[in-house]
Amino acid sequence: MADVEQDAIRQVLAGDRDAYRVLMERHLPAVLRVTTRVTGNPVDAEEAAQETFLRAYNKLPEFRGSSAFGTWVYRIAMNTALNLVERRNRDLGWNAVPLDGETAPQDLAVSHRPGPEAELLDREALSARERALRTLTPMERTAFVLRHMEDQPISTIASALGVPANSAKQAVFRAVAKLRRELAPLRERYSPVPALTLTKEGR
Amino acid sequence: MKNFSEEDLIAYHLNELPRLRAWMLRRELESNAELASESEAIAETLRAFRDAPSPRVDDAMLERTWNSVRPSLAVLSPQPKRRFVMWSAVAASTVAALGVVALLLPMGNRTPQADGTVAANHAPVVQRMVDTIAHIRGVKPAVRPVNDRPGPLTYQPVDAVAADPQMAAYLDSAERTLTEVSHERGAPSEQTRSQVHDLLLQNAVYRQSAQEHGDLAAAGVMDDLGRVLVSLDAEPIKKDAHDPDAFRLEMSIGSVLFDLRILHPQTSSKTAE
Repeated sequence: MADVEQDAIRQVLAGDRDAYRVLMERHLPAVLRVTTRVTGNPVDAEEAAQETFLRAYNKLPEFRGSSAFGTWVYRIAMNTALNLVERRNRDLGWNAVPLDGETAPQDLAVSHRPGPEAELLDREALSARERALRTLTPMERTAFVLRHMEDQPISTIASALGVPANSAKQAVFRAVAKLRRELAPLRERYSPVPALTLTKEGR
Repeated sequence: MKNFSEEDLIAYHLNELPRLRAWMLRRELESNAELASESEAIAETLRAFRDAPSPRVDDAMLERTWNSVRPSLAVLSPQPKRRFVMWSAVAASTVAALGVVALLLPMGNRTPQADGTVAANHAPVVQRMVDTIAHIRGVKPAVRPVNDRPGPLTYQPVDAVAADPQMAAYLDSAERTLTEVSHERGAPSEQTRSQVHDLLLQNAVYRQSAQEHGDLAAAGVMDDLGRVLVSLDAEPIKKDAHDPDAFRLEMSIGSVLFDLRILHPQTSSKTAE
């Protein structure tokens, strides 16, 4: 598989732009996953993914192959998504939290539990999670998402955020503490009925 | 929660807690229900976010992304090989460094050899460069290292005794006199007391000299020697085993003699040269 990627890179560097599609097809899922988790919405995630592949293409002559192309483009995706979140934060009108707090079901992770009641509860739980994530600062969200959901080491997160490793670690800890507080009311509401807890997806 | 904070619990669940502390926390969780409850709440929060599925990438999205990116892709060409430039830079800097060394070598110390020839000693040149740089930077030059081992003996101590034969002779004389005093029974003889007095008069001079040379070890020994000589000169030893002052003085004499004997072989060998 690495040979296919190496060939594609050689062809791109030789002037064949269409060979880049091979690389994009292979790594779009991972890139889109991280951009979705960092930005928190599919529109920004897709935009960040496109920007990621454009940046990677323009930097491809500098790519020395010391790491896999996937790792390299993943790091570019992390930075691009974070930059986009910061840009959006400066533009207060963009991506404002909807007044009803509802999140479109196609935009969110939904467990495949049958029944209208379960679906309603799932949606409520997912909305609560999204609301909780919105209480985090961009740095906290990115640090948390990369550490907990993307399993990235603290050193990589620190590098992506441009902060010391200890600051990145503290950002993760702060994020978890905030999320816990935000989700506490929901957890208390559903805790007497184990089947309806937030954790049903994980069990 | 005793000894463990919420941050510890979060770090534990994220595998960011040091191994020993994680082990201690595990032990505490087994016996502390309150802490276990806190831990479960954090674990539950983390589980809620853990299994969020990845967004699906379908053909339509792939096509959309490609169509968006493709028009912006410029035709790339491989970067020119930088090796030639890199090697040129390396060669240029090497030549420059060699030039500097060639200029500095004639300035090195020339040490006369046994056969009368003069050989260039390059090490002082490098040392002088280091000292000059330190001087320009306003930093006190470091003490010269004498071996490649770390620790306090890395640097050669200043030896004032070796540089001053009179001081060495003075120490020899002091050692002999104190040895006689420590072995004499009864009060010291007039001759011994006279020697003690002479030694005491010279002591301050040599102590000052050792301090000026920066030989703190010799100066310290001189200082102790001076105190013992003052005691001997002012109050001769009473050979009474029950006299605490006499006992203390004997101990001091023994201590100074010990110090003198440490310095003595070094002094003797260097003065002999």
